[in-house]
Amino acid sequence: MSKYQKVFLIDDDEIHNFLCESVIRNHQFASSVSSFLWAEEALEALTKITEQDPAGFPEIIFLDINMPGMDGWEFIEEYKKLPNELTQNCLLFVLSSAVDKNDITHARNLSEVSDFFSKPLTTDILNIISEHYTAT
Amino acid sequence: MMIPKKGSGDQLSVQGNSHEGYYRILFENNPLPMWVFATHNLRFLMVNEAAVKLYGYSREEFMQMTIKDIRRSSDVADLMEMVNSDRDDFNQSGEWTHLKKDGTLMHVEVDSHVLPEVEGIARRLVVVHDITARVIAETKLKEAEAMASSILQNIVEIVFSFNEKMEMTYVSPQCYATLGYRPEQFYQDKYLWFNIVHPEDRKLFEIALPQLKKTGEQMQIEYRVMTAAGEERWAITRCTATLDENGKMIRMDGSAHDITEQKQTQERLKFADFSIERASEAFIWVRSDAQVMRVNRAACTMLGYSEEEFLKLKVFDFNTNFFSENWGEHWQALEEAKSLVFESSLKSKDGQIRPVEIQLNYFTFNNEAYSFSSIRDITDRKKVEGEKENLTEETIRQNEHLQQFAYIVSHNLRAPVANIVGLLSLYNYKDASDPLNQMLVNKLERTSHRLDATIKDLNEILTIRNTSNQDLEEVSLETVLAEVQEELGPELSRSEATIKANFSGGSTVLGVKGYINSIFFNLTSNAIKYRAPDRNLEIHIYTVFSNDVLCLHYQDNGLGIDLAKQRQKLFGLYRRFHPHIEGKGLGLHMTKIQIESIGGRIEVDSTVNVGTTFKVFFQVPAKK
Repeated sequence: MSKYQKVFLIDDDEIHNFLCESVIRNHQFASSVSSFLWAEEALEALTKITEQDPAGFPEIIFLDINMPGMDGWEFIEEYKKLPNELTQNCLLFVLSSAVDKNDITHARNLSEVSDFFSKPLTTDILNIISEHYTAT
Repeated sequence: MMIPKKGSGDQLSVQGNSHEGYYRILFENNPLPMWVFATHNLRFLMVNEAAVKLYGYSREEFMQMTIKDIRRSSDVADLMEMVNSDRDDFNQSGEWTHLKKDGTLMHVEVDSHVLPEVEGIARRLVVVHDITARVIAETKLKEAEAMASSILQNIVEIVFSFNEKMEMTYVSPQCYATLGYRPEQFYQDKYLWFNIVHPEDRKLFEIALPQLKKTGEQMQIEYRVMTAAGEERWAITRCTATLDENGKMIRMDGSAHDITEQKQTQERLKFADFSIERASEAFIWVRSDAQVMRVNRAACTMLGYSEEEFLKLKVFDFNTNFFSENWGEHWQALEEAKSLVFESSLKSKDGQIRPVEIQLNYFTFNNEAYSFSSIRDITDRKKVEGEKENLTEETIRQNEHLQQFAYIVSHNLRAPVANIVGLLSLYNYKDASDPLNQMLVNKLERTSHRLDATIKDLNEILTIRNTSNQDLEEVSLETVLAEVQEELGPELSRSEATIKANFSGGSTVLGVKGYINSIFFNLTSNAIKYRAPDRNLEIHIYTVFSNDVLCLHYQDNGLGIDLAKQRQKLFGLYRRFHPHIEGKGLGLHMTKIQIESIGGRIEVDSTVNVGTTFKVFFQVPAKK
C-alpha cells in the first residue's frame, strides 16, 4: 500500500525523471507519478485538475529550479495563485542539482516550499518526507 | 643828568653869521627829515621840509609839540631814559617807532648831534632815516625764513646742498630721523654722504654725477644706504646742479627720501607676481561679466593662447561647462559659496579638450567682484582613474564569470553526475539479465555524453574568455556569412528560408574568424529553430556604421521572444525559451561571450509572433 496517491515531478531532465519514478515506485511511496519536462505543462495540468477534478490534486510536487522556459521560481509564483484549499494539502519540495547557497536559502524562505533537497532523489529523502510530513 | 636850560631858539645858529645861509639851505633842503629840539623841554625848535612831509604835521604844529608827541605812549619811557642818559655829542640812538599825524607807525633810525647853545638853551639836531620799508622787508624775510625752515622741518624728505667741490654745505635735520646722522656730522665729514651709500650702489652715482655736473638736468637715483645703526635702507634721491655761465657747476641741490617700505612692498608684490608667473598651476582671474582680466604663464601654456589673446576671451570661450545664458546663475552660486572646487574641462586654442580640476574663489577688490581660479590639469589622474575603472570593471566581469562558472560547475556538472549515481543505484546486480539494466545502461551512456559535452562547452567558454586584443584580425562579415550559409544549406532549404544581405554599411570588422563564423552559425540556426510554423523564414541582414562601430542587424520573422519575461535569461547559460524545441541552450550564451571577447556587444529586440532582431556591434580596423 503506497503512502501517497499522487506525486508530480517537474524537471526538464528526462533521465532524472526516470530515476525519480523508479525510486518512488520501488519505495512504494506513491501509487501514481506524473512527470513534466516543462513547468508550463505541469501548471496547465494543475489548473485543469483545479477546475475539473479537485480531489485529484497531487499531494506531493518535486520541482526543479533550473529549467528552460518557465523556471522553478516562476512556477512557484503561478502556483501561489491556485486555490488555497487545494495547495495547503500539497507538499511542494524543491529538488535541484544546485548546491548554490543563494538558491537553497531562497527556496527555504518561500512559505509554499516545504523543503529543499539536492538531487538525486534517494530513499533517504523519501523516508524523511514520510516521517516529517505525514499527511493528517 | 642834564638839566635843560630855560630859553628858546627858533633858528639854527652856528658860530658866525656868514655860514648861516649855507647851513640853512643844507637843513631845509636836506632829503632826510631833520629837526632841532631843545634838550631841556624837548620841544621842537626847527623842522625841515622833509620832516613835514614824512610826519604830516605843519611847521606850526611841530612848534607846539615835543619829541614825545611823535612816539607811542608806550615808547615814551624808553625815550626819556635815552634823553636823560649821558650821551655823546653824536649819538646814534638806533631804531625807533614813530607816529605820523595820521596815526600810522613807521620804523626809523635816529641820529642826533649836539648844537651850540643859543641863549643858554641846549639843543640837538636830529636826523631821521625812514627804515619802514627796510623793516618790512626784513620782517618778510624772517617770515619767509621761518616758513622755509618750517617746511624743511616738516617735510619727510632730507634736503641738501653741495658746493662746487661736492662738499656738503647744507642738510636738513631730517637726516637724523632717516639716517641716524646729525647735520653737523655731515658738515664735519664732507664725504660722509657718499660713504654711507651701499658699496654696490655707489657706481650708480659714479655714472650719474659727471653727467649731472655738465647738464643741470634733474637726476633720480634709487639706492641703498647704511644708517648709523648699520641698518640697510632704500632711498631715492633727486638732485639738480646749478651751472654758471661757463657751464661749470657751482652748486647742487636735492632731496633724499626713505622708500624702504615702498620698496619692500614692491619687492613683495614682485615676489608674488614672480611666484604666480612661475607656478605650474594655471591661474585665471575673471570679472563678474565673465571677461578674463589676468592669466599666468601656466594658463597660457595649458590652453595655447598668448596672454594678449587670452585677455580678450570670456569664460565660455574656453570652459565647456559654462555658457553665456547661465553665467549669471554660476556667478551667483560662486558669490554665495565664496569658494568652489569642481571638475570641468577646458578647450585649448587648437580645440583639444582637457579634464581639469578648478578651485574657484570669489573676492571683491575696490568694490569690484572677481573670481580667482586655480586650475590643475588632471588628464593623467583621469587616465589613471579610467584605468582603475577599467580594471575594476574587468575584475567585476571576471568575478561574474567565475560565479557563473561556479554555478555551471555546481549545477550543470552535478546534474549528470547525480543521474549517474542514481542510475547505478537502480542497477540490478543480482540479475544482470534484468531488462531494466539495459535501459539503465542506455541512460548512463546518454548522461555520460551529456557530461562530456558540458565539459567541452565549459572548456570552449574558458578559451573564448581568454581571447585578448592581440588575437584580433580583420574579418569580412560577407565572406563568413557565405560560408555559414553553405554549412547550414540543408537546414535552410528544408525550412524554405531566404536570406537577404546588404553590407553597404561596411563588411570588415576586427575579430576572430572562428568566433564570427560561430556567431553567424548560432544566429542563423536560432532563426531556423524558432521560425514561425505558419510562414516561410525570412532573414534580413545589413550593417550600419556609426560612432566608430559597425552594427550588424540580424532580423528574422520568427516566433519572437517575450522580452518582458525572458530578457534577463536570454544570454544565460543553458537556457531555452520555447518548449518542444531541441537545444541545449548554449548558443546565445556562447554568441554573447564570443562577441564580448572581441570587444563588441549584442542587443536584442523582439516582438512575439513578429520576429526578432539581434544587433551585434563590432570593432572596426583603425583607418590607415
